[in-house]
Amino acid sequence: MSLLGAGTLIGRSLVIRGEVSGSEDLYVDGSIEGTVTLSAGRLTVGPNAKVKADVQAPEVIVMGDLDGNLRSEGKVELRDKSAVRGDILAIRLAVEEGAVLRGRVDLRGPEEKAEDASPAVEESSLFQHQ
Amino acid sequence: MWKPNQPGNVPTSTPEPIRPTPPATGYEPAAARTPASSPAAATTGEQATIGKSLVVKGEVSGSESLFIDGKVEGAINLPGNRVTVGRNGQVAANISAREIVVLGKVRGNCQASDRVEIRSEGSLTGDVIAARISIEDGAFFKGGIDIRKPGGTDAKGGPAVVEKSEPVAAEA
Repeated sequence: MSLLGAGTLIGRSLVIRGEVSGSEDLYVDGSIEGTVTLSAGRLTVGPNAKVKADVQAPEVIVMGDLDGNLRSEGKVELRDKSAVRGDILAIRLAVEEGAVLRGRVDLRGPEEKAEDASPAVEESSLFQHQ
Repeated sequence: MWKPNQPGNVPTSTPEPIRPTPPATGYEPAAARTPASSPAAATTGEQATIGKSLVVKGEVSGSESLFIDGKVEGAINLPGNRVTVGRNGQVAANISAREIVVLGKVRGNCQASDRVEIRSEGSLTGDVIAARISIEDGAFFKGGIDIRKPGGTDAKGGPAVVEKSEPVAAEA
C-alpha cells in the first residue's frame, strides 16, 4: 500500500471546510466538511479522521468516522472501528467485524448503470444520475 | 553595491541555493522523506501534503505544517506552523502561518508571525506582513510589505515598509 507516493495527506490536526477534488490517492486523518471527489486513486479515511462529506472515489477505505454518502466505482472497505453514517453505492463492499454502518447499501456489477436505481435507494440524492 | 544581472544569466533555473538559515526539516513533503509504507505510517508524518492533482476549495486550518503542491482556493490558517507552496502549487488564498515558503504561485495576502520566503521560482501577489522576509533573486513579487518585529516598533525596515497598498482579492 503506497498511500504516500505522490498522493495527499491531510494530517490529524488539519481541518478543511469546502470542496476537495483530485485524481490521486488521498489519505485523510483530519477533518473534512464538504465534499470529496476523486476521479482516480484511493480515498483512505484514517483512524483519526472525521469526515462529514459526501465522498466519491474509485476505491475507498474507511478506518475512521465518515458522515455522508459514499459512492465508488470500485471497492469500499469498512475496517474495524470505522463508523459510517450514510448510504453506500459501490461495486464491491467489504465490512470488517467491528465496523459500524448505518445506512443503505447498493452494490451493483460494473456493467450496471446508475440509471436503474433500485426502489430502495431512489430517493437518495446520492444515486441521482449525473 | 548592486551589480546588474549579466544578460543571459537569468537565475530562474538555478537549483536550490544553499541557505544560511537552517532548514532543518526541509521543504519537501513528508511523502518525499518518509518511505511510503502502510497507512499507519502516514499518520506519523509531521507534514500534511496536498498533492499535485488535488484541488481544495474552501478553508484549511489546523496545527501542523502543510505542503501544497496542488491548488487551494479560499483561506489557509495555520498559526504556529509552516506553509510551503511547492513548485506545482497554486494558491489563491490568504495565508496566515508562522512561516510561509513560496516556490510556486500565490495570490493572496500572507501574514506570518515569523517569516516569509519567496524562492527564485516562486511568485507572490499580495501583501505581506511578517517579522522577516526574504525574496530570492528571480522571484516574482507584487504587493506591499510590512515588516513587524515581534514586540518592537515597526517601520524600522525603512523604505522596505509599505504602509498600505491595495489588498489583493484572493479569488480564483
